[in-house]
Amino acid sequence: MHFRAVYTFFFYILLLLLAGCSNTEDEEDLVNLFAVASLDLVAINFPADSETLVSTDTFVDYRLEGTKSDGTSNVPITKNISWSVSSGAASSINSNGRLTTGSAGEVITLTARVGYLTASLEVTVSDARFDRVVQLSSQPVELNRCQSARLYPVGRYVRDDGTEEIRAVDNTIINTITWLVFNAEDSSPSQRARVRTENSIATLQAFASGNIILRAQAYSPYNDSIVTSGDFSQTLDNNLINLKLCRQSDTSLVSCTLGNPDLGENQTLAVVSLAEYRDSSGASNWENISALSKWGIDNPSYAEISLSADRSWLNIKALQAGTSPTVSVACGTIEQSITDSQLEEGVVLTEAVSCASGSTDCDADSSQITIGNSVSLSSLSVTANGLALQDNVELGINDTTVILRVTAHYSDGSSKDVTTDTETLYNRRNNVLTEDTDQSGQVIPGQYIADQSPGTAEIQITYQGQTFTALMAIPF
Amino acid sequence: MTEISKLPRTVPRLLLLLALCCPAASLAEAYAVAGMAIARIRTDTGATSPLLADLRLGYRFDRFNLDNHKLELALMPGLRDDNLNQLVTDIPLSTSLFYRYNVTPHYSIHTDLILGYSRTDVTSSYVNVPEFTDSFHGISFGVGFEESLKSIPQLAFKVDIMQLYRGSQLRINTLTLGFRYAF
Repeated sequence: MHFRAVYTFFFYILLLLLAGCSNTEDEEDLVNLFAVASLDLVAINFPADSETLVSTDTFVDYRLEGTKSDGTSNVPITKNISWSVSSGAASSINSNGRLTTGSAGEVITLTARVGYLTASLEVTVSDARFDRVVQLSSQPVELNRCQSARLYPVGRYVRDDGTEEIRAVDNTIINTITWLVFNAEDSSPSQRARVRTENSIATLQAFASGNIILRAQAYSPYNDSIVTSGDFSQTLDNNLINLKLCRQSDTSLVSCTLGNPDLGENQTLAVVSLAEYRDSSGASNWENISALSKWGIDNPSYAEISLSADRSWLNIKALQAGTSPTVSVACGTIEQSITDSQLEEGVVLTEAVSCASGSTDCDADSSQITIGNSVSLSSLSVTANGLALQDNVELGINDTTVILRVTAHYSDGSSKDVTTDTETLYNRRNNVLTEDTDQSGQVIPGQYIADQSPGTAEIQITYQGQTFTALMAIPF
Repeated sequence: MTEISKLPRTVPRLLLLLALCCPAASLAEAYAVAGMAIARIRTDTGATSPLLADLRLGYRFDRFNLDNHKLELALMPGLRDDNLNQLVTDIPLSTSLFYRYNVTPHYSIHTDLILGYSRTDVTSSYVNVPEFTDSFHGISFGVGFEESLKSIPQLAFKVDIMQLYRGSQLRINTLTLGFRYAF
């Protein structure tokens, strides 16, 4: 036992030594290298339009760009970023690059780090107070009816010493702005456009074409009152040349059409409105304009229509069999009256929509839906070489080739052969039979050959959620 | 030189000590292992998989009721590097001392629980970054399976799944396929 004691002593001493000796000192270098290499980067930088002058008590979302190893520059970077601000700053930055400024003015250094790459940006946090919006957007705004464009409003800020700063309206103020829209020709309230502000992003939405005037109304800490900006003129172009309805599932926007689809009772169809726009060079492209289209249905008791949560399509739910409601869509000035709140929420009317007579800035389309009785798949039946099989019941087959025929039976009494239907799935559960192939080597659906291994062949057949298990005793 | 950097030197010394303590001819059965290992160097942001040779020498104790215990020294030289985009990583050499305990002595497939200590060198190069080598050492653990051939009982086919290194942000794992020959 002397040796065993030595061995045990040695083993415990070894474990004791090992337990305290995991090194991490070299990890950082390699981990940093992986972080950079996983994004294929060689350099990172802040975009040229990054804000370097920001207000107190607000937040700014910073972005980062990089240069790839193949030289491609200005590639957005969204992960593996570690953000920091200079120590001692009242402002802070979170892991998503959102800088939250403190209540005092200061100059801080933002640092973004991806692995061993770093980029820095000096940012001045200014305690100048907001006065009013002085420019609709720092970038030109061009859009057609039923299109939308992001606004980057520019504001005037005033310091305590009376000097001013003209810069992007900060994210706190932008959410408080009420936008007023007027028709340019008579200064009447306009339904041609709306400005929608969500998550500090202001978007100009055009519902019709024409010239409009926008005004921004917001509380001004500098004046301690609600202040309305001057007039901002904006043109909503009219380069829409076509409008059509398609299924939401269509992948080709150019070639799709909806036609007059059939729907079973209580079934739902998702459709989109697509517009073809032509730019100044003559090129055209199709866009989904469902969100800014005006939708209607001629008889809401036959079918119900509603926009999806993100308004990117319209759901049509068939309500009454034997009817043929018409779903209509228009972009532009329509005959029907709509309220401002309908414009805000999405225009879905319980009457047909149509272009106003004589309107030159409206296009429309419609589709008649035929609603039939609801038909559902009730069962599957299968024959093997002409012999009827029962689900999960074994039947003897004395042939070396087995040909299965699968028939789908529906609730309205109809049936159809689905043996070669692409939705029919065959799952061979053992090797008693093997799939037969044609001369080109393609598997023939439902056709099998005995594989010289006698026994009970089990093949599971699934079609549209219905399953049939074929059991066949094969003597070969 | 730190205590940590001294430790890898002690590993072969301890093995030598062990060899001197137990006369191989009378108390232990010596064996050798040859195989291939695929390593997985993994961080939170990416992973690479260099290929290694796996060469080992070991003792299985055959007296004092210790025949389920083995000690082995493993040397794993690199065979092929691997890339993550432009990052090239290689393991030029990994050395380990393993203790193995057979938990299924009465089955034809033996299952070993493995505990040991490893030092793994990782060489890396990237665009604008000079090639450098880092060494990672620490406790290793894993599980191994082996089955002797019926026609040649001294020869066994074996598979080891190991974590050679486990750091706070980095893991180095290996999967080894090989043969063990008992002398």
